[in-house]
Amino acid sequence: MVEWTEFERTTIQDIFSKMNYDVVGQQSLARCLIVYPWTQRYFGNFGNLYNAAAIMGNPMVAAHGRVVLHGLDKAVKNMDNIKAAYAELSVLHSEKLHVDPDNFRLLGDCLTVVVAAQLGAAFTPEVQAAFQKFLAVVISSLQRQYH
Amino acid sequence: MSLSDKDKAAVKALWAKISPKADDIGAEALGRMLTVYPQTKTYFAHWADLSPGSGPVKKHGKVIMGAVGDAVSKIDDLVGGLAALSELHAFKLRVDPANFKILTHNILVTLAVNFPADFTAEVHVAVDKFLAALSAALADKYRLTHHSGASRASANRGTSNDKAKVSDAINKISNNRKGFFFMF
Repeated sequence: MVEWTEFERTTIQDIFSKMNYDVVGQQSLARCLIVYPWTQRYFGNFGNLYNAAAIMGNPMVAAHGRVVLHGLDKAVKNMDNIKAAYAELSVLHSEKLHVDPDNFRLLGDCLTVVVAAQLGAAFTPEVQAAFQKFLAVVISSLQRQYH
Repeated sequence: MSLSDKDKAAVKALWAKISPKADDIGAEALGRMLTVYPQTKTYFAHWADLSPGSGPVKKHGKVIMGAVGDAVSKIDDLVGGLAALSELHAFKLRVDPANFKILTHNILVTLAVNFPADFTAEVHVAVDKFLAALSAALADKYRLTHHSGASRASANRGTSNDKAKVSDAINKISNNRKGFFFMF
């Protein structure tokens, strides 16, 4: 069981309640595909990913970014049992999608950078710590069903 | 992952923009690292105050970012240019190189917070590559069992100034193994 302080709970709920999932989803996934181009291996059917501009403008990337952020929302709404909430998603990523779990960390880092840019000075070290703890729990839960 | 000319140009351009704020960026990145990754505090147990914005954090943030700026000017030969610093980290500070990635991440977050318009995805990838190359150069002198052999090997890569710095470092280490004080 993960222990969350009041500050951590409030911070996570606050960040996500104010977030534009479409924008942040698209920005984070696009940034991940640009900064860590080997992640493109999972998106062979997404069409033009040849350069940063193409990735930024790609509608399939935008749509999938939205899917990923709404997946994160599940964790936001089930903070006291993310492990259970993500059991099926974990099996999916392992058995069907065959995603190397290290990629979760890479996407998480890009999401952190995008949120940091959006919040600016409000993304204090303490807020960053809460956000990264949340992502670490999500990532751990997503890895749980890998065998 | 080697740096292309485009990467180097992007890093230099960003550095030109941010260098006036280098001290603040260093302090903020260090403060974030100590808060978000508390295990990194183990290297600074001798400081009176480890909180973000404290005197020791500000001072050391300035030292770190100064070294990053120096590395930008030596971007064409990071291993040679950072040889003395690598010796320092390997033999005196003995920082686990896994921590270089952690500090890198916090530098990137600090850049995103303070320069959101400039820290585009393309700049992000160039800076990430540069800091990874810097980290590799900083780890270059780790786990070298024969000091004199190592200094000869690394001396071949650096400038004559660096060769002098490295052999100087080796002499200091071999002359004074117990509790030596490395001036930097």
